[in-house]
Amino acid sequence: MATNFEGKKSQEIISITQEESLVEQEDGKQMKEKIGGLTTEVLNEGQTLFSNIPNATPEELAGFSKIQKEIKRECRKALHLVTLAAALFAASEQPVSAQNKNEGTVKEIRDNKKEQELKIENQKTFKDIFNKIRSCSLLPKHDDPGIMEYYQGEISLDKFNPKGEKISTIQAEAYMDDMNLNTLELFDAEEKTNYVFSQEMNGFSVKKYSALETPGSKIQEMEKVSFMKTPKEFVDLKNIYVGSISDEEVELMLENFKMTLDKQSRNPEYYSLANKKNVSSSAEFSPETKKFYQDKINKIVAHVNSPEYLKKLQKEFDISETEAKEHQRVRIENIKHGDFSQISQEGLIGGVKPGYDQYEVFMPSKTDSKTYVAEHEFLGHKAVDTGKGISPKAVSLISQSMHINEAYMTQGEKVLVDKYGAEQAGIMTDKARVDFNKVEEVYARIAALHMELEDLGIVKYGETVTMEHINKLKEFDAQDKLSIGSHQLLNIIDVNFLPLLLNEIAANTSDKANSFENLA
Amino acid sequence: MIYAPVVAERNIKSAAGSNMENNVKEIYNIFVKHLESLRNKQFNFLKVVLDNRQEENLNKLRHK
Repeated sequence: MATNFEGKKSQEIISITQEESLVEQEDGKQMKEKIGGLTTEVLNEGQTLFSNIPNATPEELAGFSKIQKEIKRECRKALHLVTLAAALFAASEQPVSAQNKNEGTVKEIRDNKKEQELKIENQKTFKDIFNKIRSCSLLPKHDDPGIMEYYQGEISLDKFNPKGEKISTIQAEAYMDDMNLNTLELFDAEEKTNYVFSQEMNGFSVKKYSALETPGSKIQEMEKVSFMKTPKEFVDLKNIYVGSISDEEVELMLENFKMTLDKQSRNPEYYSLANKKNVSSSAEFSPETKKFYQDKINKIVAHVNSPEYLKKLQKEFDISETEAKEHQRVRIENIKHGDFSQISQEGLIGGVKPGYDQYEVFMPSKTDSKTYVAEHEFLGHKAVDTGKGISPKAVSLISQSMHINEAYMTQGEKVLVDKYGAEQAGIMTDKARVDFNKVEEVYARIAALHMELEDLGIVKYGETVTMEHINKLKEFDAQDKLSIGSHQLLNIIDVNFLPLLLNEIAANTSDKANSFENLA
Repeated sequence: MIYAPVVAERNIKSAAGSNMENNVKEIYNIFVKHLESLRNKQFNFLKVVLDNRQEENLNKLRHK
């Protein structure tokens, strides 16, 4: 065995050369194949060697899988960046085919470009812009988003006016994190404007802010244009298009996205889980834990099934009782649909992992009556398919209410620094901030708070919530009697919005200083 | 929303038309470097596993 192993090492199974002629192709496709090919070889090499090790232990297998995942991740990063580079190029005024020198002189290409640009000038309908975006179909699909981790890359492109003169250079940065948030950030040096295109597994948002502000103040100053729900066709990264889109075009796109999303989220079938496969399994739970969650689910179903919830739905979506009943039915079915798995992390964390045609629900093995993990996940996320079923009104109200308590963030980070070191704490805090800025996360906390308020005897569901109730809630928080989700909620929104949010929207551990770790 | 570390030096390239080629080349080179180091990491891991296994086997033989 050892000979075989050593023998393989001595051979160069793959020859990796850095000085090859790389970009002769139109759109980076060949490059992607090349990257994929190299990765496959390294993965296969590892698998062959590993299969030669007799009786591998679970720990060894886990260690090996970890490395293989790391390799895949590196491949994905490269693929993403290459495609992004190609897409940016395609999206700039210069046609991709201009890479091919046989196609004409630079002047000829510029002239063609000029014609194209003039054409674009006359196309101001959303449909045309969208077609332009779609033609830029160079980016890969994320078939295994779970293995991605945070990374960033940088790309730049020049921006030309219709005469072919360079007017500015746009700098783009791409990020991807393990929360499946893909972001393309553009800096336009001339216009002093940044566009941030970020795309999540289950959401799409475009934000615009001034380039000269510091990151800390960006969040407060940002123009809030955030939409949580994503029509399926937008989930593919290929829809990210940059370069020659003007401000008006961006506005037009946003308007259209908003209209599409509003229309879809009003349709309960749009967020129904009925046709999605559930890949969870409760096999690992003890009978007691299973019963604990089953009781919780029954309680949540009863909550959604109540006449008060129906009334709130009617008010929230501004629809008839019959239509509201459809939303109620779909939400109940969603809550009951499928099973749930045990989460691998320790603590009182849960999760709903949405996918295009499947989804998974995680619950902690540890149960605690004080936590509202089940309410958060089942009522806050699963009932609305993690954001797709959140009403336009809720999205708008929540977006307006978002206001992160910086003291809370600083305090939380300090605790993490002691535990994990500065670098890791910084990453965790950034992640927490991203999560706290998601409408769907705030929504889930509000949904769970509805049930917690009733359990605490502060206010019965369906009764009008006033600032007095909120003050009582704060008292509970001061006495450390609130669930982690509600404690976070008080620190990530402007509390003055809370009565409004609770009245208008139908909708974990006690170690609160460490609440960044308990994001669900 | 996005607070990835700000890249200190924005290396703005000005050569029109060459952006894609340069960027892709750079990405590829970085990728190749990382892949090579991960390949070594994978190899070293497997080697340690195999060495341990051989040591176990040797011990078993000794005990027999």
